[in-house]
Amino acid sequence: MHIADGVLATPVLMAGIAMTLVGTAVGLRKLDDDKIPFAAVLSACFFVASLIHIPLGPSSVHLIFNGLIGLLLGWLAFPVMLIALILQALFFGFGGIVVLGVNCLNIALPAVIVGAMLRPLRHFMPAQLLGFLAGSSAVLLTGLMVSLSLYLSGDAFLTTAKVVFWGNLPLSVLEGVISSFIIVLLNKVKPEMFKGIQSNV
Amino acid sequence: MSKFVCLAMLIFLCLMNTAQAHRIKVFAWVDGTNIVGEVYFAGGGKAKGAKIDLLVDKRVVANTNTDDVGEFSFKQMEAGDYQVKANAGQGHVATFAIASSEFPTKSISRSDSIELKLPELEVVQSNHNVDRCQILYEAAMSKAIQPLRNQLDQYEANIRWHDVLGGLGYICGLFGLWSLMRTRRE
Repeated sequence: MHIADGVLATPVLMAGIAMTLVGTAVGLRKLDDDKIPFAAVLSACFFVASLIHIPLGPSSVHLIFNGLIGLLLGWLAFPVMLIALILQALFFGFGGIVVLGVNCLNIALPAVIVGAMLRPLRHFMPAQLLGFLAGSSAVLLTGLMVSLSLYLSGDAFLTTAKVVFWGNLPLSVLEGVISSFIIVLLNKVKPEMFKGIQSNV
Repeated sequence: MSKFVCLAMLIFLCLMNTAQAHRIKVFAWVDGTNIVGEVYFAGGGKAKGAKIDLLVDKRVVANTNTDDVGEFSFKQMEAGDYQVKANAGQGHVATFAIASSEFPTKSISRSDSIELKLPELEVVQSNHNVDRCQILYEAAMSKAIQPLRNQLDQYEANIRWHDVLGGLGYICGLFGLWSLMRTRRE
C-alpha cells in the first residue's frame, strides 16, 4: 500500500497531492468538535495497524482499517489517514515523502467511497455483514488504486493488478473479519455512534 | 467507552507483533570481484523474486532476480561506483550504493575464495609478498565485518517502541491543537 519514492511518474504524483489536499480540506471542514477525539483514536489505530505485517508469497501485507474508518468517519478519513501516513513515512520509512499525496488518496478515497455506499444500507443488513463488506471492499479498492497509480507510471497494468489483487485477497478477508468484529462490538457498547447502525438480531 | 475499546484494541495489536514493518531494504557488498546482496522486508521476511537492477550513473548495466532466500549476486564486476535498485512489486523499491573503494585495491587471480595463510604473513619479504599480504588482509577484514554491517543495516530498519509511542503522541497532540484552535475561533 505504501508506495516508495522514485516509482511513480510526476503527473501521477501531482494529481495525488492535489486530490489529497482537496479531500483533506473537505474532511477538516466536516471535523466537528465532538468527533475530534474519535478521529484521533482511529488515526492512531491506522498508524499502528500498519506495523502488523503478514508474510505472503513474495511480498507481505498489513492491515489498514480504511473500510472501518470510512464507515465511521466518511470524509474525515482524509485528514485522519494523512496525519498517520506522514508519521509513518517520517518514523519508519513506510512509503516516500513525495508520494504521500498518492498514498493518502489510494487509502482514503476507497474509505470515503465505501463509507458513502454502505452507510445508507446500515439498517438493512446485520452489523457483521456491514463490517465485513466495509473492510474487505475497501482493501480491494485500495489495491485497485495502487495498481492504477503504478500503471499510469508505466507498469504493465494487468500483471501488477493481478499480483496486487491476489496479494490483497487474503488481506481483504482478514480485514473484513476484523472490521466485522469491531463494528459488532462498537454497536453493542455504543450504538448511538452510528446514529442507528443496528444489527437485526 | 468506545475510546477504551479502541485503545484496548490498539494495545492488543501492539502486543501481537512488535517489530514488523512494511518496507523493503536491499543490502549489498563486494565479495572479491562479485557484488552480492540480499533483499528483505524490514523486521523480517525475505523478498523472493524481486527485480534487481545494477546501475552506474542511472544507467542499468545488469539485472537479475532474487532467489528463494532473497539473495542475489552479480559475478565478475569491475571496480566502480554502483547503485543497486531492488523492486519487489507494488511500489516497494529500495536502493543501496556501493562505492568503488569497497572493491579490493589490487586484484589477485583467484579472488573468489580467499584463504588467509598465517605462515605467509610472517615471511613477507619481497614486494610481491607485501602486496599479496595487503590484499589478503583487506579481504579478510571486509569479510570479518560483513555480518556486523548486515546487522547494523537491519537494526537501523527495525521499528522501535519509542518511535511508535512518539507517533501516537504526535497524533494526540495534533488533534488536541486542532481542537484548541477551534475553541479559540469561537
